[in-house]
Amino acid sequence: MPRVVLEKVSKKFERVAALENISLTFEDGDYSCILGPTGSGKTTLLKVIAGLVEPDSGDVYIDDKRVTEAPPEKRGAVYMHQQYALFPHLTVSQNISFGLTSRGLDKDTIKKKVSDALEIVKLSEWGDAYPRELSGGMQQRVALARCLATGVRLLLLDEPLGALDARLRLEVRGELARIAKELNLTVIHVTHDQAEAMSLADRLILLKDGRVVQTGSPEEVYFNPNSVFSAYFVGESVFFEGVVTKIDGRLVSIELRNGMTVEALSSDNFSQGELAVAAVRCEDIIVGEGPLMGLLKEVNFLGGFSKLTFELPGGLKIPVNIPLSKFIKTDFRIGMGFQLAIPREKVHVFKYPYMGLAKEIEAV
Amino acid sequence: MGQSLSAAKLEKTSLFRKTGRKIIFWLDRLSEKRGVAYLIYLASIIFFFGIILIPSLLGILLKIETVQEVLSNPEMLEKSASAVFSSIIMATIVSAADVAAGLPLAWIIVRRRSRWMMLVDSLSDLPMIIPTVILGYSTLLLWCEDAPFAIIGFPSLSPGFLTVFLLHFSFSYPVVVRVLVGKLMEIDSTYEIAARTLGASPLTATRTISLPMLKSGIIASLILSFARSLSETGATLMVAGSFENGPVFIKRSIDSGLVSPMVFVSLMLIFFSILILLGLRVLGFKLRIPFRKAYRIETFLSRKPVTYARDFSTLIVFGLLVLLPASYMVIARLPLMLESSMVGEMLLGGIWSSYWVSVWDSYLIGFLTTLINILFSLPMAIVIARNRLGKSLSKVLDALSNTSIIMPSVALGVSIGLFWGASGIPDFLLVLLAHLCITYPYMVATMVSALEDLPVELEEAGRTLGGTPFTVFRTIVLPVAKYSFLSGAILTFTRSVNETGATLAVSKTFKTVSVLLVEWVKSPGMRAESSVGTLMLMFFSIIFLVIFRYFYSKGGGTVA
Repeated sequence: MPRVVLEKVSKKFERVAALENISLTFEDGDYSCILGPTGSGKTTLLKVIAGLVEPDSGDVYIDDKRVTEAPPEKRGAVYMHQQYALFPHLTVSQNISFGLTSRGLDKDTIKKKVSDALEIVKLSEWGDAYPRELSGGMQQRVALARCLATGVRLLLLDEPLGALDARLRLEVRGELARIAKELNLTVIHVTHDQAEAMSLADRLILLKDGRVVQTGSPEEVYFNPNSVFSAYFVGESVFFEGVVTKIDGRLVSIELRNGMTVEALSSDNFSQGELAVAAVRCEDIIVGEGPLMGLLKEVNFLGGFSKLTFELPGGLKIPVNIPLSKFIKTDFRIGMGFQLAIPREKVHVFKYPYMGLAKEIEAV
Repeated sequence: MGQSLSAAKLEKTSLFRKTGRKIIFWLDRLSEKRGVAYLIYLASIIFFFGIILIPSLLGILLKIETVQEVLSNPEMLEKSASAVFSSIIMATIVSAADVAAGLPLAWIIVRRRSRWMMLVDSLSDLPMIIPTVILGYSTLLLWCEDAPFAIIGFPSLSPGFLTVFLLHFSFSYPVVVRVLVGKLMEIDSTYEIAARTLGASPLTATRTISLPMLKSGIIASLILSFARSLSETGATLMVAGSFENGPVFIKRSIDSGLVSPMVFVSLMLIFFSILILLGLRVLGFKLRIPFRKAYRIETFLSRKPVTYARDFSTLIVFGLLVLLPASYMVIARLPLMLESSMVGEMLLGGIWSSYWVSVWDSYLIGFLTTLINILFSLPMAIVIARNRLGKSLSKVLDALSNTSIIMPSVALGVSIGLFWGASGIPDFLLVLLAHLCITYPYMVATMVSALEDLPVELEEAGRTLGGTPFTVFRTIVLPVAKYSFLSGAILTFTRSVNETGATLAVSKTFKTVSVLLVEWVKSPGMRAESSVGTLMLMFFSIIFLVIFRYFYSKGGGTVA
């Protein structure tokens, strides 16, 4: 049963640290998504598991067996590249049979497994075609079939939907989830697309600068971000920088530069006079009631929801997402004033980042 | 009866297959062991240093004290210096003329894709396929001995500077065209179209947009044609007359048994070629083609009649100075060969037996050179292209493996002869060693570029799907990169068969067919034999090329 454990894995490329002291466990049958911005070390992490990159220190275990130095072909993990890496000189069937011939299976078994794999990805008619004759979506499915045919139950997917257009991405995303569950695969899926990660993952692993920032179910990470970065990268938040002026049990009051006060509930230790960052989801801000007054500056209709930008006193601008049902009921005209409320139970408050707020989220 | 025969045949085939499978299985298991790969890399590095690099440089450096002899003899010094000077002047003029005449042709081939231009494209390779000694003899017949243009009043030339120029121009021209065509194909024509829609005339667009993008290609062509002109020996000897450049001087020194001028000229040739080529690289990067201004004359020069005149003159130069010398030999001498009774004599022996021996030796050496170079340069190319032993070592090995490309082959031959000569190894091996050194960089460079073009993801995918390193190499790398590998093999083989300068330098007695033909052409009484011998060689070259082409289209592996 594929269960993957990483123990204190570090990897440097020349002087740049790609992975720093990573310890993670991927449970059998889980669909895990590693989410992070470009350069966060996602692909390196996946390649370390696949055996394509050797860590400088730390260990990798697959099924409780230490495989840190084992060659890729001996790990029982199959890696799928973002660009699929289909062998251009082989037909679809030959591509799919590669892993099977490498394992020394007999011809009849190979034939059967290839046709089964083609059926799973609904490409039975295309066995004799060459990769160049297929569309992007079909190529993606062939790459997946090639991985599945090996019978390996640990799938490492590196941005598998990255090269597809938006509509196809949605379709294939559903297919991927279905196949993974049907075949009870352990999948580690790398992406920088939060919607993709949220919809597929049993478990999210958020990575930044080679370190794990947060792990948990998509709901956990979404509702309880543990850092400014988590709040920024998963979902859409508004950030307020300010000074802690009052602490009353769990209630923390933060005074912003424009004189406004934001309240939040927090179990972290704050002290008065300390700099802090408050974050609230754009959809959690209430429009039409509350103590704040905002001037509507911009309206963006996006279909299912709309994005409104309000200007608060002192020039502070905040984007608010409201559902379609509410949008069509109210007359939103630019230049009008609206009451706004930031519910304290929806506000997350974080220690002020060491390098400053802008720096913390600039790399994204 | 028939059935049992076919059954026996089947059994034999299956036995053959079984053995093949066993070997593959064994190699697969072997390739799984980490140490094995490193052992192979180590062997290829030892081969490179021990057989290629050190003998190429050390042989000549060990004899450096003999240079004193030349320096203290004013007459010898003057003659040697003048030979070096002639070589450099010739190479400079040839490379400049090549680029000036080759660029318009490359342009026509790439930008005016038509059936006729495809034909021109294929024809432009002709002098590259023909062994240079044949081109040399053909040039000699065309411009000096037969001089068919005498009818229209063009006088026959006597062998000398001009004939050497014409020869060097025709054999380096195709290389320049090939490089520039390749580079031009990479440049997207939409840039030029954008420049045109922004108001530039065709010529302004070319000068300001495409030419700067083509700069690296132009520099590469200059370097290649310069190096080829500096190295060529055999054909140059045929048309040199009293003209004496470095290689001709070295050949004459060898004949008269003088070591010191040979060492001196070789050293100077190496020194100046490195200096000039480095200069060209540095200057090339700094040199900027002016693009701020659009000149009015460019609009005039972009007009249809002017461009037609330019294309026409380009094709005339190509036809007259490249295509005609390359094909004249066949046109003029084939009837003579068919009529003569020499075909019978050729099989009977006499001087022809030495011809057949040298043909056999040439192809044997060509084959061995190619085989040994494939075996040793492939691991080296993997080390370089895939950074198997670290990035910095890859860079150093890459630079070092290219050094002998810019070394004149005759100088390389002198060094190798001096290095191994004293050890008393047979001449056949000496020539083989020299050919290995000369062709090695071409093989490595082709393989490195092939591997660099091959996405590393394909190999990674193969490995994680369960393929061993050997399986991945055999079933993915080899089939995908087969065209480049075969090109490297063809290049190595033809280069070895055509080589004269280094062969002359390492051995006085061992004669490859190119060396033998130079001798025949130089002996006044052997006109007919020279013609027939050269034609026969051309015939063999074509056969070999056809065989190579067959493998080119057929070759490669499949999934087992």
